Amino acid sequence: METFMITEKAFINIIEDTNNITLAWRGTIDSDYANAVMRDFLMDFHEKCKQKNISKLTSDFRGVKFMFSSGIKTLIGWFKLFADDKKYPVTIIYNNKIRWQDVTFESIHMIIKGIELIAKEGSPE
Amino acid sequence: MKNENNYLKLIFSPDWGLIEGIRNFIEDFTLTSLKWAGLAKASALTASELLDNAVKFSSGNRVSLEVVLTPESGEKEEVTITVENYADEQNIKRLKTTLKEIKQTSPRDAYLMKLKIAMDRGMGHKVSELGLARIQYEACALCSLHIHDDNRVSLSAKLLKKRL
Repeated sequence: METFMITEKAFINIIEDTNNITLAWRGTIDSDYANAVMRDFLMDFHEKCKQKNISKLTSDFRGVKFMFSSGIKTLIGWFKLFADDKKYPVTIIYNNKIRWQDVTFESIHMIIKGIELIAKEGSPE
Repeated sequence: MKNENNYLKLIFSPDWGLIEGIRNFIEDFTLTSLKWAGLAKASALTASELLDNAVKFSSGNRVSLEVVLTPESGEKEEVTITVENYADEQNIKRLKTTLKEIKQTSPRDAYLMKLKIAMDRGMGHKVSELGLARIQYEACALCSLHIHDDNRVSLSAKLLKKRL
């Protein structure tokens, strides 16, 4: 497992299991700096996933306590990248008891088709 | 405490680094006074997004945040959050346009519309313009704007327990 530090308050654990990759997010993303780091990471990560020809990507957001709106803008842009490319299937795991996650991912799911959405309580493993 | 308004006002420099501390403080302050986590979290989100807006678009070196809690009984509990800052004409115009757009439809549809615009602009676009639509939908906030003669902007959001 690798860990990518977005800031001292937020990080992503990258778990590879054969050809499946899980991103387990944790922390708080609430600044333009954090957003810029996250955006660069996600764009680069998408290219790597395409090159590796991965079978499946799971992105687990249950550990994110707060995300400001610029971060949500970056997320929807990232989701659009893989929805357009259709190179690998994507599953989003979120906690529907946390209001920002419930509202955000349900809304994004209405706009972007082809992404599996799973509501699940608890924290990422 | 139950029959009186709780009130706070903060004046600070428009600095990103202060927003998280203020957001956490507003959540604690609201929770302590009104004893309802849903309203406290909605207040924290609202304060955070309004401050984010003020820090980004302020033309002066002071931003003020005012929070008034009205701890009525039952479903009438409410929180009013007002952020004030100075802004230039272009940003005032942009703010008025955004507010007009998101009030023309339901909070849900306004948020979906803004998300779609953000998606179409792509990851590289600097401004999200999601904040006001988000608090209107996610925090069920009723937003209002007042522009003073000296280009001071007062942006208020009222949160009602019964709407959450």
